Parts: sequence; structure tokens; C-alpha cells
Amino acid sequence: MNAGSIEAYLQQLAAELRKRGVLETRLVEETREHLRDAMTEGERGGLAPEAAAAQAIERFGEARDLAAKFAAQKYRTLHAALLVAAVALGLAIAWVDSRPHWDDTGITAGMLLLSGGALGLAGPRRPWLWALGVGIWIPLYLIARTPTMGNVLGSFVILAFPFAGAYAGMALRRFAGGANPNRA
Amino acid sequence: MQGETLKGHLDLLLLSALESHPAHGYAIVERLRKRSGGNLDLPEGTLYPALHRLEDAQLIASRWTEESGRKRRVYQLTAKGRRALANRQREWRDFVRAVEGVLEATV
Repeated sequence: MNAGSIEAYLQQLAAELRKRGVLETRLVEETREHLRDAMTEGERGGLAPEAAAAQAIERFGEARDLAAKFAAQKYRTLHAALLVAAVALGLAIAWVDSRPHWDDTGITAGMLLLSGGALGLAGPRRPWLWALGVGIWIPLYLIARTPTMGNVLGSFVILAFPFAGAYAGMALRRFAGGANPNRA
Repeated sequence: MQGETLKGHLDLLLLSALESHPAHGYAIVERLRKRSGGNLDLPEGTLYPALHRLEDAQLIASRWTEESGRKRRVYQLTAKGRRALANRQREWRDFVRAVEGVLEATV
């Protein structure tokens, strides 16, 4: 192991970050400088370059763990913003749909589908949450207005649209290679 | 002292390490190690997510600098960070006093 192993570690770190949809060159650059410092320190302490690089990497920790921690931190902020957006969009669509003269169900369904799709694309790790955030308000409104069993079951069919959109958005993001929703 | 024990105190330690003057990541680790007499031994990689989080919270700020031909990201406390550090130091001292009170109680 030597300085080349530090570069290999950095490539692994970058790959792990990419897998999680995080494009963070700054973290990789900072890690490079840190490992070079730690390696120099090890060499000053009498270690051979290979051993110094190995020690620096070991003390830094697993690339996968670091990437997971970093991605979780980044996603926390993104997910909070997306949830707020999902609820705001859902409430707006439900409000439009509840207007007395609004009778275009196709446009409502299309808005739910597109909103879910956009959110699934932006946050591919929680499509179900964006779908619920967007789609739950129309069923809730209908149930509160006329709580019959038929209405309850029927109104939840509308949830199929944001769910379809959000999962299609997620699939598109996966296909584009931007993020693997099963990681981090 | 290992990573798990340090987890809840990492922010306080990082802010304290930056109190006197700015530093880059490796220097922060060294500072913590020296000040603790070698007892604080955190997995060094965990430092950076924590520093980025503190920066997002505007408790610290950072910029690239060049030292001896090497690029380094240097961190420094913000005014907000200084206030947060003072509060956390006070809370920590209160906590230590309370625990010591319990440990030293004879009845």
C-alpha cells in the first residue's frame, strides 16, 4: 500500500458517494489532503510509505460508512424540503379540485401524476412519502364531506396517480444513474 | 475514548478546537488529540460530515487556502458559532457539576 492506495481509496469514496446520488467533490478533495497529511505524519514517525498510507486509511474509516453518513446528512435536508413541497402541492391541487365549478378529473389526475413524478425524480429514496404528501388531501376531503364506504374506497383510487408518478420519477432517476434508492 | 462515546459531544469539541484560530481538518484532529492527551481518538472520517453540518448551520465558515503549494479547506468559527460554543460550554459544565455532585454524594 502507498500513495496509490490513497488514490484508490478516494476513487472508492467518490464511487460510494455517486451511488447515493451525492456529487461532493469537496469532500473527496478534503479527504485527499487529510490522508496525505496523515501519511506524512506516519512517515515522520518512522513508518514505511506503504504502512503510513495503510494507517492513514484505517484511521479515516471505511469509505462506504463515510459516504453513507454524508449522504444521510445531505438527504435529511433535501427530504424535509421535498415533504414541504409535496404537502403544499397536494393542498393546492385538492383546493382546485374542491372548487364547485371544477369538474375536470383528468387534469386533477394529471397534476397529481406530474407532481409525484417531479418529486420522485428529485428524491428517489422516498417515493411513497411524496405520493402520500401530494395525494392524500383529496381523499381526506371527500371522506370528510361524505363519509360513505363507497366514497372512502373510491376516493383512494386517486392515490394511484401520485404513486405512479413518484415511482416513475424514481425509476427514471435510477435509469439515469443518478441515485440508487436502495442505498444509504 | 472511542467514537460512540464522543458522538454526542462532537459538535462541542469541534467548535472548541476552532475557538482560538482557524484550522483545516487534519489540524483539528491533531488539536483534539493533543489537547486530550491522546485520549480523544475519533474515526477521522467522521469529522468531515460533522464540519459540513456545522457549516450548514452557519456555526462555522470555510474557504480554500493554499499552503506550501497545497490546497486546504480552512474552517473558522462564525459569530453565531461563538455564541453557540459559549452556550454549549455552559451546559456541559453544568452537566459535569451535576454528575459529580451525584457521584460524590455520600447519602
